[in-house]
Amino acid sequence: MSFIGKFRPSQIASRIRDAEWEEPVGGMELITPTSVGFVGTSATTQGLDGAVTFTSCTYIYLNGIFGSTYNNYMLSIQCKSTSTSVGIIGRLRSDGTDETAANSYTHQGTSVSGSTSTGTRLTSDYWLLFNSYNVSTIGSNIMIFGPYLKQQTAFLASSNEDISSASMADYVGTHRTPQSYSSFTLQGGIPYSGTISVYGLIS
Amino acid sequence: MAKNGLNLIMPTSLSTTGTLGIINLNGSVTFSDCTLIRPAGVFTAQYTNYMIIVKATHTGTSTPISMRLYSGATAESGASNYIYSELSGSDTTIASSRTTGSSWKIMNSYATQRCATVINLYAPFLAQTTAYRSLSIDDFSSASYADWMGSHNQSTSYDNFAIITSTLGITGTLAVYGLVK
Repeated sequence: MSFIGKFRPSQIASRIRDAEWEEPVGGMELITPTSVGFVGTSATTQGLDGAVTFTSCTYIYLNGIFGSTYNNYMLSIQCKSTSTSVGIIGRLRSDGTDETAANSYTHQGTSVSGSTSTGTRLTSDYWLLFNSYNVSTIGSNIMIFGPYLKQQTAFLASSNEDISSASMADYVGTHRTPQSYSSFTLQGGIPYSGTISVYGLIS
Repeated sequence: MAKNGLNLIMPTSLSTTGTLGIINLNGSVTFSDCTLIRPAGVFTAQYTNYMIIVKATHTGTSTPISMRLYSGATAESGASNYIYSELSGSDTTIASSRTTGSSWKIMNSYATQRCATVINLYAPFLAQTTAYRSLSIDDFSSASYADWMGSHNQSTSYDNFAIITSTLGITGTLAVYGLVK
């Protein structure tokens, strides 16, 4: 019995007619920032992997993560603050400068803690992405839609904000200026530590 | 050895009701002024769970955007087969509701505003009940939030789905990803 690789010729013929034979297109790719800036103790990429580990930082600048290769992105982050709870905010960034135009960002926060649900909306010069609680690790997946396109940008952040008491918090928001941004900044009111990975979604 | 965890799926064909619908080179779909977008053959035994990303806008008044399962070209539109709950936030108003109907709601599109959603779909190709969750931003001007989650109560295998609106056409992009098993 002859084989071509691990398949018999008859199997090859059947697989050629089978759509599964086609090599699938990867759907999500890990992006390595062209550079990482920070205010704090340290923020570095992990070798060639692209994930950023940061320690006791108040600012993390993820430069060169948005480009024309992808339309939509996912930022996966786990972190904890070093003392009291802290809000982590995000800003779009380009050419080394944060976009800080007044009232250009709007976010809506919806949270559930036990039987209490709360809603807040704010128009300002930043997005609130999530809150980091004292010592308790939080996790958040942040989707950013179309930041490099010259159109409005939107984000969705779904988070577990307090692992001790398991609070849910979802933040969504928009940025109204139809401008292209290549980078992103995360800022905490007090230092926080953790890791963040940026993925591009192929489309 | 690591391998891709998420693959972009190429539809075998595309059906639309509206002005334009095309399958892009990698498999994502671009549509213009459509009330129905149905990328065929996207659910198979190769994957169990899927992620779907939709961005859309339209030029008329606000319109709800829904999703319906299909087997081939046949829509599953049983009047009480889709059940979903909604949690929404608009400023300080938090609302929740549960609905039984003939489709799942996935987001709202507001006049001239973009909307976007990430849909996680669980086991549509398996002959068992299907579940979904759609986390969406509904209104780019005022940043409205809506989280939809639900189930389909028929133990049937479906190989595709449609995004549908009641009357107004939507314009945007859609991509279906399979989570590698």
